[in-house]
Amino acid sequence: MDMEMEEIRGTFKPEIIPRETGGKIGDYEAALHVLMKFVGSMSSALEQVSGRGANAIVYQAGKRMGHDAAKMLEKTDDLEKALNEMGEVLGVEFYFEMWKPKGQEGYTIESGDKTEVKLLFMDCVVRQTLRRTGLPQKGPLCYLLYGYMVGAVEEVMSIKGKLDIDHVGPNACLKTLTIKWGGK
Amino acid sequence: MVTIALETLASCSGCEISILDLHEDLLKLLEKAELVYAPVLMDVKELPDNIDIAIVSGSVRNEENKERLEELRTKSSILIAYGTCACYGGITGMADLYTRDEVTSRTYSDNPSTESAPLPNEVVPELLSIVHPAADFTEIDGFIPGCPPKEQLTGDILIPLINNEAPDVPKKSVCADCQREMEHVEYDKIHRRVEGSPEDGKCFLSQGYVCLGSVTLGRCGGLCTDAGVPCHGCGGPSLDVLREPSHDIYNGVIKRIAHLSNMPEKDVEKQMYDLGHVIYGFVIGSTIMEDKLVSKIPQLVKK
Amino acid sequence: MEYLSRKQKMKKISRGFKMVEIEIDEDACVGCGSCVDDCPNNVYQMNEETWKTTVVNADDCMACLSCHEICPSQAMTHRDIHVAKRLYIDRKVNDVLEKII
Repeated sequence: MDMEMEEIRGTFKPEIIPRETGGKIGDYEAALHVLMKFVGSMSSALEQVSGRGANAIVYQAGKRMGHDAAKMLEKTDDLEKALNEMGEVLGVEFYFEMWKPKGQEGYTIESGDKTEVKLLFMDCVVRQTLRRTGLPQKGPLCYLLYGYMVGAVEEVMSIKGKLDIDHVGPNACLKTLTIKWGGK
Repeated sequence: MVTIALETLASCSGCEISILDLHEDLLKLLEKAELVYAPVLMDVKELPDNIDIAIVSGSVRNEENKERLEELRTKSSILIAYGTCACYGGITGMADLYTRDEVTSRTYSDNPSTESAPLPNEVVPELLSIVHPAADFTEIDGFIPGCPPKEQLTGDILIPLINNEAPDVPKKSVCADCQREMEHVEYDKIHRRVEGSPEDGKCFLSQGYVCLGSVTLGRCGGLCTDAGVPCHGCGGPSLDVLREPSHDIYNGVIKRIAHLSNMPEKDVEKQMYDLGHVIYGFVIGSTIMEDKLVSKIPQLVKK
Repeated sequence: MEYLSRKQKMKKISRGFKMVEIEIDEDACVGCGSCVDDCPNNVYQMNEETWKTTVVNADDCMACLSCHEICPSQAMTHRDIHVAKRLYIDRKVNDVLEKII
């Protein structure tokens, strides 16, 4: 095994710390993979201890994060515009797109005071974390992401929303975002 | 002329024979390439300098293998690990299921069919503590798994290589080559390979046999399944098993059997037998396979 | 530079993506039907005569690649789809994968 842990020594001044604290690509990889292992382990422990309650707790945490993330975005009433705006911020962390089946006219479906749109999440760090250790999808970590998304949408559009997962896959996951008009 | 060297480490020499098995295509190879070193075929004892393509087969089992491999690396431009032993440890990797002392005592002092003798200590190189594939000691430029790689595959790889072209060969699992049809059949008992008589044309997994075809790299023409023998996994893991950290030969076979037979995975696991030889027989030496968190290899090897 | 081009990509969110091209290697297909069962959008169907998978609805394919995951013989190819990152894979493993001929 090529586990050569070389100790890096350097000189510290309070105003100048050595460049080596930045690390190289291998260090980023190692840190990322260990973090994935830890987060996966925490998520699975949470699930074992609190069962479905874990999803709810984590969802609320995600929603709060989403609200914060979207505070700087331009407020709008148009769902497609909102998603575009959010894509620029959230999309860097996990790339998503709107999706519709071939037979459908537009991306959004209105029914009464609700509007639905299907979203396809492609790059998703949660999926990657789960696939590192083989944990099943649709657990607390996925709910963290749902909360994040819903929180952001709620902040931008000042409505109530929910996200349902339709399908999980190795390259993309399909989710349905439902927003309910009528203010918070 | 492209110079080619074939080095044999801890190998059965099947890989060298597979290159000879190119038969008439050997002439196509020799149009542009010259064999400058091949202990199995030629009487050249020392590695010449400036080898263009070095093909190493067999695993690194003793000190001499290690030195030969390192020397080969310094003297060659392209070093290819040929055969499952050089890529993943192969059959020789199963020696790691026993301690080094158990191996030597079984060979020399406690062998049931010979007279007991002390372990030779002159001239014979010392065994390393475990079996290593070639990549553990040097930078390898190409891997060609197979036990041995079949001549069709070898020809399709070597001939473009010596012509400086990229080989274009498929990289799918054994199921892609196998002609049997996979069906969903409910059953609850797994058979050992010597039990019963499998039907032709129907997938072994569908008949309750342990077949590693879906998790093994193919390009072998599915010869074994064609002859009525379930796949033993001699091509090493399929690319998706190698790639995904949570995929392993063991859980891949279990999931596949559970999926086809409707058995709960726990029941399939209970019926799995002799993991070291049946499931991991060809990959015990591979650090990639051993390092996976889901791998059972660490529980099987004795170091 | 890379961040800028990502930003430009983000602007295309509402436009969705173009139809996926799916090719099935019939020699490789073992007729297990798992892709037909697993696909959420009914892209595949078993051909009654040859008992191999055929693509009947590529328009609805969202390139989730669940079919790739379950297929025992890697029989399908998806062309020109979004490549989602897989940063959880060790670079060392990616290196070996590239070198397998």
